[in-house]
Amino acid sequence: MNVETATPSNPSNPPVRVSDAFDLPMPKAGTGMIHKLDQTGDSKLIWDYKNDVEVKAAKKMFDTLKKEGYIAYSVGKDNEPGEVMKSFDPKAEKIIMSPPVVGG
Amino acid sequence: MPLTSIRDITSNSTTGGNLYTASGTAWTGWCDTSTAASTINTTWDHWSTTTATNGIATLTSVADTVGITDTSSTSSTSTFFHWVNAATGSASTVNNVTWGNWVNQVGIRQDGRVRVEVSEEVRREAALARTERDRQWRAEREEREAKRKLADETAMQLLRSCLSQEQNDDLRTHGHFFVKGQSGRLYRIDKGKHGNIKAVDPQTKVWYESLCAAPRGGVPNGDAMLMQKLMLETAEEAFRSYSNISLKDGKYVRGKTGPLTGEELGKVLMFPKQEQAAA
Repeated sequence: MNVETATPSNPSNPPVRVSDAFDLPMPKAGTGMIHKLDQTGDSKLIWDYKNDVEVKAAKKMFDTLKKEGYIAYSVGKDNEPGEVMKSFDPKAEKIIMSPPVVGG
Repeated sequence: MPLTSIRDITSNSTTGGNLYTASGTAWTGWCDTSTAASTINTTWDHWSTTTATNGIATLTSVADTVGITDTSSTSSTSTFFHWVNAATGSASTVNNVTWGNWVNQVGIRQDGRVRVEVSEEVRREAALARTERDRQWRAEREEREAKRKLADETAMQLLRSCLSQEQNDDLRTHGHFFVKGQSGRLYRIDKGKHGNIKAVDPQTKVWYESLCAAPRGGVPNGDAMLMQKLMLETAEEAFRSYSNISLKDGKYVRGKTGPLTGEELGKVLMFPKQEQAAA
């Protein structure tokens, strides 16, 4: 599992440690998190809504994965059913990005 | 190794062999032509002497040509007989059968491969190398296993963070959880990745359809189960159309081929909230 921030060099927003992420079912207030499902379990990217650079980086990742065929879901609050995302929403708190689906 | 081979043959001297003279000296048997005159059992002599009737140099003679081409020959003066014929004819009276010695003593096996005898030092080095290879292989396997286990745990952690309390309880207690699809159908998602979704009767919880569809690539089970849950909740019909569905009566409905991508979903789903927000 990989955890990184959209701007890891930003001293005011240091990278989140893996152990911290495990303890956080939802991102901290004011931040969003993309979980990209992969062979490691998931790779995470965290951004701050108010930080344009981080939002831009998160959107870039979102768009790149969408181009690769990934399906994006916005998970609802209190685990209510969310929705498939057509485009990046910087205010989404938790986005799951899944590889394309194939019949088994 | 040649010398080892000869040593092996020597060790068989008590049973009678071919590669040495009547004195039982293997090396002599191989190289000393001076003793060949008294015996036709000297291999080296057979190969090298120009005077012996069985020598390589005289293979053009009628007798040896017959010996080479005619395996039924029981003539103990036939070179080829010495190589191949260990059992027929007068072979029992001839303990000069070279081929037999190679097969039995040197180690040419039934499959034609040669068992090579090696020195103790080489054997030790080979054993050490084998041990090291085994150690590396075990270490790599353990590392792969540890990574897989961590990935499984990470994926299950993410899945649990997206489940309700009731679903988490079911997963912990029964190894599955229930999800309500957009259509109102109830699905049971079992632990696994393929064929692990069952459409069930809401009252009896007895299954009537088994769906099989999963994310492409080698994601852990927890990730696959999460994706299946999200798809059933948000894009049930699209998900079903790409799933292979087995019915309880044995019928089978094959899903669409090709992957269901985010782009494909975008074509079939409505996004009123998102479009409204964007506007």
